[in-house]
Amino acid sequence: MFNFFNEELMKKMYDEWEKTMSTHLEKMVHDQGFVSEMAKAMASTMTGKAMASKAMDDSFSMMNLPSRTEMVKALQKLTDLEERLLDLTEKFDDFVAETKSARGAMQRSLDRIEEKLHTHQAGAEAPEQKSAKKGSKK
Amino acid sequence: MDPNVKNEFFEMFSKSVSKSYSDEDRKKLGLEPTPKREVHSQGPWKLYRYDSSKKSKHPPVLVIPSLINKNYTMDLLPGHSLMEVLVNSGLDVFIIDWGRPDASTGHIGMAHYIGKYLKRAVRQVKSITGAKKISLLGQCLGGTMAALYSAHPELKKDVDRLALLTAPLDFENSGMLSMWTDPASFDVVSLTSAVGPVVPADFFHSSFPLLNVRASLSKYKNLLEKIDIPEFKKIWQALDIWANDNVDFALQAFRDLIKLFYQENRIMREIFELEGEAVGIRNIDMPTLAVAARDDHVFNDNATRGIQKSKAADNGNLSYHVMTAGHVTVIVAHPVRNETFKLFQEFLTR
Repeated sequence: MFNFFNEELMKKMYDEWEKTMSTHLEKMVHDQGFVSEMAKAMASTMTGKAMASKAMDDSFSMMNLPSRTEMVKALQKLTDLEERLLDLTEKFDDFVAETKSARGAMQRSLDRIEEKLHTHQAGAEAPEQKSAKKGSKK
Repeated sequence: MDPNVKNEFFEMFSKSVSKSYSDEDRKKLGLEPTPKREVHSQGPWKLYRYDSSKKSKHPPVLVIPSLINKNYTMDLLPGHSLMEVLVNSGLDVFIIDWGRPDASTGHIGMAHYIGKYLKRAVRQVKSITGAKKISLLGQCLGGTMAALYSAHPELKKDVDRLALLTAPLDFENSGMLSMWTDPASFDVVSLTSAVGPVVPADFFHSSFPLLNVRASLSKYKNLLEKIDIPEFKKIWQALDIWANDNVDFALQAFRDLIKLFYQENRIMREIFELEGEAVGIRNIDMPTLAVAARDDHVFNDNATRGIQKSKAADNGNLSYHVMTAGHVTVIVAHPVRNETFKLFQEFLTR
């Protein structure tokens, strides 16, 4: 009796099917004309669907109810606001960091000036003290 | 055929066809083995840092995956993970998970992804690690985003080096997808006019098997022929789970991908608008590694070779490699993955 579930036979049949299918499919997906027609057909279907969605939105609007489009817009506005807030927070953080480092740099400059003044003062006082000492000896 | 093997095949086959993988299947396989923690999140995207006890002297690495799929091909299975290799070599590695966009982020375009989200991720990495500059590693469209970030005169100041994995940059004649999206017949606005704020994953993923018809048709035959090789079986299932774990696309980002990248090829024409500047391929001048896959069915080598027009190539800063593998197998198949891992490891720890 002929065995329909013969593994070898099944494998051969699958290989044949695979070969035929892939040849045809390869030809199809590489055919610019076919791809172009498919895209156009899909675009017109989508345009139809978009019109239906718009009609739905309009009917909601007539009933004074928020449509899906309006709700999505509101959500997206919230995302924009969050983004803006994050931008501002980052800018503020940067400003604080810059101010801190500027203050540090300024403090260091002031310290250096103060140090120089001290040295200068000490240098100026030394001859005065010497002459004062000489004067007292006389 | 052994009845047990037969049963196992039918079980795997039915799970794959019906896309009915459970969390238990993922756990059993050990997907995403490298431990990581969330360190930042905003809207749908999150930033993770891989756990590492080693302290590296090299700049931290930010991994930017594609927007099309989940990011775990980068960390597929133990021993099949680029992340594992990078972490073990002492690098401080961060990865972005773009998440699943929803209605609230449908208006987010490519420039926003790069100029805001990616910029914020870079800022976080710098602030967490204290590094002045970091390395970017982008895979597929993530590579395109990393390249554009590195091309911006201000943003590039954060980038020490740029590593690209199968990253398309020149979209003209870049393969079947560029043929299908020909502006003469593919009106992306009409085509997506009714999808709502996000383009459902099925909308574009249904066309992916047609990119490599032969491989798609022989997928189950291959499994049947090699089912007694445990390693093959494991990778086959892990990749099948990943390939079916598709994410939706923010509407504006999808339109930008088709119009600005595919139809107008703005990166090569140097007119991609990013944070108030027109940027393009020439502006990339830092040390760059680009790894392409010879048998890539998503983008052909023309797409990845775009990087050779950068300043980095002119000044000897580009290292370009073509591996004998496909778009994904380049990081998961044996033995090619080890060569790929080595290239990235050496480049990032140089």
